[in-house]
Amino acid sequence: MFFDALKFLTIALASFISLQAHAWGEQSGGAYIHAGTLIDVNARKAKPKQTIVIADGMVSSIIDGYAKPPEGTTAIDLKNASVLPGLIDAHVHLLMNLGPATQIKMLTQNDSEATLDGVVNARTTLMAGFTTVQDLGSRNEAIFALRDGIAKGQLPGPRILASGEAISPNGQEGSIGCSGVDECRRVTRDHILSGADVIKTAITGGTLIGGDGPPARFTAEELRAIVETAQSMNRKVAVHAHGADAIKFALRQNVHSIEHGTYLDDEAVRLFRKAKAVLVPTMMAGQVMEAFAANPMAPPAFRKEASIFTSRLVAAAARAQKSGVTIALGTDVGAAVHGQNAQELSLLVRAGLTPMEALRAGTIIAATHLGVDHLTGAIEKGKAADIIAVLDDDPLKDVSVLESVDFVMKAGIVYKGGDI
Amino acid sequence: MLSLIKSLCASFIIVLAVLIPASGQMVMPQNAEPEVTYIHAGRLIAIPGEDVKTEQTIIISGAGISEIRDGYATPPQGAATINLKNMTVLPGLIDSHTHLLTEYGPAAFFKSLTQNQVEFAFDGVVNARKTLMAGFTTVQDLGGGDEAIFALRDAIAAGKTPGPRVLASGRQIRAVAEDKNYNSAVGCAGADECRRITRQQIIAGADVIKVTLSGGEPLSSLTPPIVFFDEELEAIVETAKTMERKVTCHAMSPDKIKQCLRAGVHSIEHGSYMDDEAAKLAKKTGATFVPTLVIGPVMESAAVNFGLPQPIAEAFSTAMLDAVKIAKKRNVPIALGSDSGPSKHGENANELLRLVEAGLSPEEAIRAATVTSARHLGLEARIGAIEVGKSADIIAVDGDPLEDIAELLTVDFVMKAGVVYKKAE
Repeated sequence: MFFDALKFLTIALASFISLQAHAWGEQSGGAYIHAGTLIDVNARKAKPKQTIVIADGMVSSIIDGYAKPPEGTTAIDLKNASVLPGLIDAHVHLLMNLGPATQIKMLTQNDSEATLDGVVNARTTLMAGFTTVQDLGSRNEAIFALRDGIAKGQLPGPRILASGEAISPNGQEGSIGCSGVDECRRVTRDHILSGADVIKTAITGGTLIGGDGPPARFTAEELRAIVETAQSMNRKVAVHAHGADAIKFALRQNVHSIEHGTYLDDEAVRLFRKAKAVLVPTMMAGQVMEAFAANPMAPPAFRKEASIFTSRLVAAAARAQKSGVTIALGTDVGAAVHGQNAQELSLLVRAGLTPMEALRAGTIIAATHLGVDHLTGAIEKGKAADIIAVLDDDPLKDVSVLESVDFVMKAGIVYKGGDI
Repeated sequence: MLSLIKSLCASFIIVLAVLIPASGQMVMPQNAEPEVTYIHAGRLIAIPGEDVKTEQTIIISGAGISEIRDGYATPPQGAATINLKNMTVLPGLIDSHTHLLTEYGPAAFFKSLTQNQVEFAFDGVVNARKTLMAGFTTVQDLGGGDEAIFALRDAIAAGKTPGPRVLASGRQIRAVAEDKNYNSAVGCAGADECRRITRQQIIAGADVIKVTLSGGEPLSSLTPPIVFFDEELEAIVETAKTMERKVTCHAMSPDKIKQCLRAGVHSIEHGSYMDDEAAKLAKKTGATFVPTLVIGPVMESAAVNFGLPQPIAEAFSTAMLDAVKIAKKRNVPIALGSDSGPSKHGENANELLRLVEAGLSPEEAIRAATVTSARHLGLEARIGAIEVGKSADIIAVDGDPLEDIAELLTVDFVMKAGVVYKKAE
């Protein structure tokens, strides 16, 4: 019925417009940023003395040298800074703060309380220089409302793409369960219509040491049905998997990304390339496991494996990197600490990426993986003015300098470093 | 005992239901002699597409046409005469795509969330009357709440309220229903569920099954596509066929049009971006094209409200006209559908003008609204032409619509099944 289409269009357009509210016209004035060093992640090089011209929240041009702004236009002096695109985290949990109270909170918090936690975490994330994130696993109403509220400019935070609740074989841990091809199709369609930008599936348990844990597995047909249905609605499927078998099983069903990927092997690497899938290694999650290793109540085998979990994740990322698997930056913050997202850059370097490659994993590659590379991921004409900077330091020498950024702009609005 | 009475009642109702043909027109047992009416028609387009005759007498007996004579025959005593000597007389028009329960406007979305089926039915009563008064004596309604539209259809058929003869799909079937409140769509996933939903829809009262596929069209590139897998679509078409119902498919992009045609649907609704390959396939499968061109101007004028860039709305409007040209070139049958609801009720004839704008002759446009639509609806034995044995669905205008199709925007005389609803001045 055409009427429905119109109505649906209204709703969809409303969310699209709000997604880009800043980028399309909310910003009346413009700005000239004088960048001492501008890191061009597409050309893979740093350019000295550049002027970024911003109008209506978007980059309208980039000029060699320090161009003088016309009267009435703000000049932002980042001549002593390295300027780069806003960072992108492909794996966060904005509503979660892993800690002693986590389990109680999961049982007792309502959506409103969870949303308020998300408000704080979103601000922290943006101030850390992450202007776009993909949230993989949060309560539907809370995360979709947070996403839309930020997009409307109601509160500061990164641009969010959200999966809402994960889809799992048995509905464990606040996920949506489905059994059988038909039900998995239905659940996937319903979920996308209720607001999911991406489908997250959990095909093993939670964070598991040494393998797949209790066998909570989709059949190949079920997972394939989820992938095909999501694809038919222009959505990707991100799969949480640790064990090599689970990773390979998922890749054979043409999923779009493997999250964590801890125990991937050479065959998995081949399947990654065949499926053109992305690895999001979330090495920061290893720190959490190491903290668990200190728990004297845990079984000794668990403690032993947990104590080396970061190096497991780093080794997996290194193996993938060596073989040319596409790696996007994802931190699993929520399990790790919000606002420390940039630590993942150093871990990527530890896994063998050059600093430039690590920056690319956290900008243009993550943007492409999220399907928002037309909007962000590089400082380029026509993209949103998502721009960060560090003073007096060179992230191409040491990516850890990005753990404290001095300047954050999202869609032309300065959130940090306005006094520079 | 009670259950016996109930089942007896039920079978009586079923018997009665059988007496009501698919056209929805109640066949009442006639005790008295049927009333006889003579229409003196100055110019008669009896079968659009064939020669126009002048000075004709149409003799109506009860609800049907019993005879057509050359010249102005003198009626026998007791028979009524209707003087349409200064008029062009033609068959009642047929709109193959309406939504009688709704009308687009500022309150439409709010209504969709708050109105119940009874309220929708009352809105439908008003819209149905407007439609009939505009000369449309039969419509196919494609998408509205089941209870309201089926009740409206049956009330009109029973003569309780004036309106066109209605064939209705009730709720459209989609891969996923996007709005449960509005109650105008039902979702199904998997061939088995799609079979069950199709059967339920037909048992609930659907005369036709409407499926909706979206995605791939510039107009809705921002929404997730809502699409069936082939096996789901095929299950719907096969199931409808077993229950002697046609399937009509809302599709705009070429690939969705082709997917529907391959599954064996009987018509494509909108088909806005139809390409030559899709038109060839439609010709091959024998499907009818219902282009609903008036939606173009609606989208153009509403683009601001929807935040839709004006160039996209305008391109959509143009694409629809091109689709008709492509279909015409491939000889795909084109039936008139106004998509009233999104467009204004009672202004259905605007679609005739748009069809002419798309390159049909006025005669071809009128054919699309009569002969072709009647065949598309499976009612060609009863409506679509002024012929002996057909229902007396007759309209008249004072000018010549074959010269100026806009004459049909103001219809001067409307008769449906022998009953006059609008008298010529």
